[in-house]
Amino acid sequence: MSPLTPAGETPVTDPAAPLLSVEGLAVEYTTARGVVRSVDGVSFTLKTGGEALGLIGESGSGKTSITSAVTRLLPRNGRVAEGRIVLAGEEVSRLSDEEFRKRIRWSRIAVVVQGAMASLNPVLRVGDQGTERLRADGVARRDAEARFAALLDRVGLPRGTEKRYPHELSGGMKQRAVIAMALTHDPQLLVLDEPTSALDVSIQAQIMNLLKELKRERGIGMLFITHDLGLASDLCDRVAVVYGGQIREIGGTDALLAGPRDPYTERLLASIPRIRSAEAPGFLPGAPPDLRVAIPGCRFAARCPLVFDRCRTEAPDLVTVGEGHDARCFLSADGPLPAVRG
Amino acid sequence: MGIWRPIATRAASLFLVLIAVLVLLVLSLGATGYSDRILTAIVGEEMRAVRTALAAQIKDPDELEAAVRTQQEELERSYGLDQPWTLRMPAMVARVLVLDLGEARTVRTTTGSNSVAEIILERLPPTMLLITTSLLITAAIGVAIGTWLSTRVGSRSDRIASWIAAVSNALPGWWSGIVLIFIFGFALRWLPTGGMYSTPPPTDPLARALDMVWHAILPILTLVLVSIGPSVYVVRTMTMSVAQEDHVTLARAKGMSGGSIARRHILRVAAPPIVTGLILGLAASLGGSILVETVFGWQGMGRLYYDAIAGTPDEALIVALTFMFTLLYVIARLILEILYVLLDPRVRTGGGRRGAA
Amino acid sequence: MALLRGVLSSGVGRAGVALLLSLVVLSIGVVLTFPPGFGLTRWGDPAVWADNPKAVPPVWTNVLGGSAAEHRTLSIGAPVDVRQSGPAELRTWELPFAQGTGALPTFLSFTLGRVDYAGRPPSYRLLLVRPDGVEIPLVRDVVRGPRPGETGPYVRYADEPYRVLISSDPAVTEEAADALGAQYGVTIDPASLRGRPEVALFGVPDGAGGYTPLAGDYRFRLAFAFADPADVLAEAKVVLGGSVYGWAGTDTQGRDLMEGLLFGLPIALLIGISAAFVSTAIGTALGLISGFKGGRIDLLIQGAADIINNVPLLPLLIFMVFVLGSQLWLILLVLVAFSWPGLTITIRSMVLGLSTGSEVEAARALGASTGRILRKHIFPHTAPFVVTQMIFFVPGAILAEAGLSFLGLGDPSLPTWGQILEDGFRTGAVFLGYWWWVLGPGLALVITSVTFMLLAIALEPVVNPRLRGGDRG
Repeated sequence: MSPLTPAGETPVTDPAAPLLSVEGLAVEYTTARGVVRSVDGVSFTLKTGGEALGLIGESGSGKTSITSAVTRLLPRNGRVAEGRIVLAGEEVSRLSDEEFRKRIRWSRIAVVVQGAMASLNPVLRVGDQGTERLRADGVARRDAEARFAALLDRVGLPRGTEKRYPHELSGGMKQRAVIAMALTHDPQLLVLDEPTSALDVSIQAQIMNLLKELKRERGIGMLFITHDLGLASDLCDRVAVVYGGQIREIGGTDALLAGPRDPYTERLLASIPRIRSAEAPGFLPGAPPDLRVAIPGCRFAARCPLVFDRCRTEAPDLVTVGEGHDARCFLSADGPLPAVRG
Repeated sequence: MGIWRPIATRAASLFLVLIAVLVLLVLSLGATGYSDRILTAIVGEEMRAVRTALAAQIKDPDELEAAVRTQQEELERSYGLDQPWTLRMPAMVARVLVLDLGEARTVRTTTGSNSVAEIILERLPPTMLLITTSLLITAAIGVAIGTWLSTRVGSRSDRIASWIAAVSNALPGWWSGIVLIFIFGFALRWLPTGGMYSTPPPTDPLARALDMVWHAILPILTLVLVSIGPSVYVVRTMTMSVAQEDHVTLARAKGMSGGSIARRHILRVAAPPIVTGLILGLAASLGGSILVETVFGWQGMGRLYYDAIAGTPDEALIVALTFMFTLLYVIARLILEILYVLLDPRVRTGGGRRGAA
Repeated sequence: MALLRGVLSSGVGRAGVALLLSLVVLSIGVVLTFPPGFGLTRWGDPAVWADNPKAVPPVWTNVLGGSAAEHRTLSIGAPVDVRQSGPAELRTWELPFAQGTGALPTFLSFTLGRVDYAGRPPSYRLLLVRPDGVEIPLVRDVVRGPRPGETGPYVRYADEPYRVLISSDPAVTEEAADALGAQYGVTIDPASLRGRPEVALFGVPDGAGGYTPLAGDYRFRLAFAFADPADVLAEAKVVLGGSVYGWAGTDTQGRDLMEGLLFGLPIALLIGISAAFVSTAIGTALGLISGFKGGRIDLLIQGAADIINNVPLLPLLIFMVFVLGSQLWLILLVLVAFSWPGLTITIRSMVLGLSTGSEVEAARALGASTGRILRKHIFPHTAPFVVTQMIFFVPGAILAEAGLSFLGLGDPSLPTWGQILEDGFRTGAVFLGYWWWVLGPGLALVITSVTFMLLAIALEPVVNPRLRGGDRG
């Protein structure tokens, strides 16, 4: 794959296997008030050849915990309690930390972390930060610099950017630099955690276009975390809606947006204001569930406009409602959801 | 790039500090009549020499007295004693600047000189030795323990450390010194109780140096003891807050090794605020050294300060010492400021103005 | 209130609050019970401490295995016997006490308080009555007579008690040598008892020049011959000097260090709290003005703050106090003058942040006055930080004053812990092994400072420390 992977450590790849497969993932955090299971039974796959999956949810829904489990960047008090993470046929969740760091990080999974505005080291030049891992891998300085300069050029940054310090760059430029850094090892998978949340709308669009181009020309698989359905639909082939640590609905972007089969997805869509629409955006009252207490029934029941008795006692499972389209509601199997008052 | 501009700015403002302190010194001396006293004393000293010289030439007592009086008036005029102190201020500022403050009452240099400037220059190296050594030790220990603690925030050792920091901050250094003398000097008799050399001092230069180190252990230990708590705490808090920043997560995601992350991405970024912490610590150790030198009979500027105050106060020495301490402080600050500018590119290129330390 | 709750939620905070409460209660007690002018009329007056043992450790060192002599003061009550003897009235008082075989009193002294007489001055005798029946005369004297031209009734020793140090009276050694020699049939050279008659007074001669301690019940008998029945002896006491004293020991003048330690507490609190309060108030006010007004005022205040913030504090403090004089209020003034700038700079940057914030914009839009905006919309946001800084400043002020006092620049009319330490240091307490003289005041300083440190540390998380202006972000 990557020309930089040392010989003898050829990645175990199975061409038939999906690029990424997450199976039954559970993440737990140890807090002062007990153990919180913030991700519970999450499974999804990402096809090879440049598929992008959007993970959508409110803050605290567990979407960042899912990707942090994949990239092993969970905070100190968090751990993967259950589940397997398989990267191109290799079960990476069984690797030791050191092996994961050397073989998987950056060379196969690269990350654009949340809050990218501050994700550059303020006292090192951009170039030093971009070539850092290449140099650690033993690439000659000159080669590493040339490679990174080319990438900076590719993401649309002017010549000489590598000589500058982060505070001399604008927000959009920093974000481009971070993306360029993520490409130094030609990773198979790029995890993007709200990469545009701190940017102006016009810059946001530029970055999104850059990501779309990269996806097309390099065939990189992407996990795209956002709370913005619009952005997700722009970039992603498939979308997973996350709520209370579970996937509520997962499916092809178009199908899911056109006909949501889960009340939470439906409410999320309704809350987006639309230009040229007579309808007022719907509100989603209440807050995400408190996962410290066990919820016997559906985790969305407390806020669901369509709630009925069964929802409060029995937890619904994901049911297949179409081609690669699953949803988690007792009503999902019955076809399109009944209308609710806005 | 623009390394010089921020340094020049700081240098200018520190120079302003120096001048302000000078003016304050001279103002308070003038308004309280101390400057008259100092100058009169200087004139008196000089007149003694003049009188002997004149006595050798002029035999007639009346004539001698008259000559002496003319000389004295001339001298007083040259020192400005015939004018009110307000008019003398500029001249006085100039005198303090070059430590031209005449002669000390009782203190002498080892060679017997009683010139204030010479006395102070003789006492400067011991003080520098004490302050710089303890500052370096404090910084080294602070960085080592502080970074270690920052990786285990909230642990038992972290809580213990923050208690120790609180107590260390509340410890009067000089008192700790007395207690240390009591324990190691008086009760256990392991270390000397004070002074800089044994009596009689060794003659061999190497033995002499070792003897001084031997005597410096307790004073340095004292200075380290009182500043180590805050130092550890500052390093810990700074590295901890840097460790939580996004660029550290990115460095981890990059697969950088733990050592590289700790050095390049945490400590290196935390360095400028840590230097600021050191600057603050410096003020404390300068003041602390006056008291600690007093306690240990360490013949530096601090002990000299005490000797100048105790008994019959020696105004000239006190003025000169106050100015010297300010000067030392300002110079040390400037060095640290330069260090800061070198460490933080944001200051260098005007990306962000640092709040005053 | 939210602050207090925040402080109480942590162990550090609870410890701090408990300590502070006890310190405050203690110092209120001290202020109420100590005489006004304690520093000059009591602490600084050697006569007050004459009857105390000099430079002895605290009583509780006995618990740690010492066998020190207890310090005892025996005062007269009602006379045990009153009889007519010729023209005079003879009154006798008895002061019983027990003496073990352990440590002997370090000294004996006799003090006469007020005596009133109408005509002839009364004469008196003090005897030691031992368990073996031997009586040794200790004092024999007459109350001071009328001065020329003075008329009765006469009052003596009312203002200044009359004190006799029995231990150093050569007559006592002779009396003891005589009495013991007669009883036990040995010859005793009085010169061998010079300066230390207690071995003989409380022992039995072994004939070889030594003494075995005699344990048992002793009595002092004080007999007064008054010429007039109306004559009065109001007060008299015998002191058996101890080799330990009080809870904190004594210094070389015999001063009870506990009194000094106690008196130092309200002063330390006064210094710390008032200096902290005033400099915080000035610092905050100037910071608010500087940040909100801007312009030339801002420039002026920040310039001054920057300069003062950058001077080495202690040397200038020493200089200023030396030049101005060492009254307490002057020390406080100088302390305040040099310590407001740090806060001013921080508050200003907070104000700058706040005054462009939405809350202030809204208040402005509603037409609120500058004063109102400062009071209602800016100050409340800075208040928790200000409170923390104020608390942080208290130990600084206390330690600064202690440092000045240690250098001999303390206010001589008010004994502080720093001055006691200076006394001890100058006397060479460290090299003489008088540890209690050094440890007590130092620990008092540390405990008081730690109290405020703990409070400040407990407040830190309550008051978001990230509020401080900086370059981040």
